[in-house]
Order: sequence, then structure tokens, then C-alpha cells
Amino acid sequence: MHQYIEVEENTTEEALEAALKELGVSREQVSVRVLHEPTKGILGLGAKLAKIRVTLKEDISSTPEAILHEILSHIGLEAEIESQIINGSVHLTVSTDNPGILIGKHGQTLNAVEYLLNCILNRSSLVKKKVFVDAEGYRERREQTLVDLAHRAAAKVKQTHQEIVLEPMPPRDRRIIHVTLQSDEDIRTYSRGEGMMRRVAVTTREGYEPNAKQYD
Amino acid sequence: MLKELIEYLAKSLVDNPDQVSVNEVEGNTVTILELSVVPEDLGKVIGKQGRTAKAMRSLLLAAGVKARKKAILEIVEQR
Repeated sequence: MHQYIEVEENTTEEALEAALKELGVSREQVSVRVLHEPTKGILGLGAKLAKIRVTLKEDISSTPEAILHEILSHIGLEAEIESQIINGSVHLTVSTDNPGILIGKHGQTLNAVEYLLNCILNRSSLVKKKVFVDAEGYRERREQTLVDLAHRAAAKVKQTHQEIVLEPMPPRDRRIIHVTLQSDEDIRTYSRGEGMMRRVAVTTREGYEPNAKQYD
Repeated sequence: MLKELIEYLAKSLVDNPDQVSVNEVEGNTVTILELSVVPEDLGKVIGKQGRTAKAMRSLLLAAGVKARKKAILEIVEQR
């Protein structure tokens, strides 16, 4: 269950520093095992970097997996959770007999689970980094859906020269739309509305007013 | 159980978990869950722009589908 990472650097000290930065925690929150000391070798031959294994010391009951498991079992879902560290962030992948309930409409339930998990972790755990939750490859599928939507909207805007305002979306979904259309020379995107009603608008380069977002 | 779900989430979110209580009011078609916390913890269960409360309601809906029940979450201040 314990999460660990292995780091190689010139010295064990440097390796530890890099590992702590990667995990976003302080020295007291980890245990360190030196896998091998650095060796200089002869004339640069056979030189080896220091290698250490850094393990997160945490109360088992407050690991992201344990809390997620608890939340899901309260919803009535039997789930298996796989934990991975990608770019220093914990990514949890859930397999369950009923992914439809877990994901919800447009990922609403999955996002709510992820948000509450992070709220709880920020309170009870030492790790302040965001934890990501996915199920059945949903995030990737959603991204593809949004990329397609963005291209369709852009095509229509070019044809009609009329602005299109998409439905309200959470920040991460809006971001995908903006990034997708960023390279399109004839199209501009911006967000309008506040909070949970914030939406992406797709418009032509000519129709774009930089200040529009302030006056909607 | 829907009540336990809310109880668990609320207790995990607040600073005073022993002051959390959930009162279940059974109706004909829906159950109302009255979550009560101390005033200092209200913000913790409601969140910025009601985000936390909304997330809890989303989970309640999902759990309700699974349990074939419908429940509404109300948040009240403990007096």
C-alpha cells in the first residue's frame, strides 16, 4: 500500500532533496533507504549515481486510496483502486462493477468524488498535492469528446461568422477547449460567466473583443 | 446508507467531528437529511460558492441511484 519513489543523483543528499520536491512533502514525512552509495569509478569508468528509495510515512487510514475506498463503499460501490504517481501527483484509477454510477452525467459524480477526496486530504493528510481520480479511462474519453466538440464549434463559427457559447463546464474541461483551438488562426476563445455557470465562447478573430469577458 | 454517507463526509471535512449530527426525516417519496454542524464548521461543509455542499449532493444522488432511494441534503447551523 505504501507509496515510494526511487531517485538517482550524484549524492544521496541531492537525491533526497529531489525526491522531497517530487513528492511535495518534508523530510519528517518520509523514510529513506539508500539503495546504493555513489561510486566514482576509475577514471570515470564504472561510476555510479547514488540511488535512494523514499517512502511516504503515513497513517494507513488516511492514504488517498483508503479514503477513496471509504467514500465509494458509502455510496454502495465495491471498488478496486490502483495508485500511480505521475509527474509527482497521485493518480487513482477505480475499477468497479458499476462505473456509470461512479462517473455520472458528464463526469459530475467522478468530479465530486475527486473534489471531496481532495478536501478531506487537505485537512487530514500531510500531502498538499492534488490527487486525481479516474475510472474506466473516462478522463481520456471526455478529453476526446471535448476536442471533437471544439473542432465542430470552430467549423460552424467559420461558416456562419456567429459566436457560439458552449454549455457551462468546469475549469479543466474549458481548458481543453481553449487549448484545442489555440492554434486555429481564424478562431478566438474566451470564457464568460462566473463560477459554475462559466462557459467557453468560440468566436471569429474579427468578432473577438478582448474586454468582452468583463461585460457579459 | 445515505445517512452514513453524509455523516462520514461531514465528519471528515470539519474541525469538530464529534459535533456533527445528521437527522433523518422520512417522507413518502424522499428522505430529508438535516446535517447539523457548529457555526465555525459551516463553511467547511458548504465550501466556496457552495461547492462542497454541491459535491455532497452529487454523491447523495449517486448513492441514491444505487440504493433506489431519494434523499435531499439540508445544512443547518447547530444551536
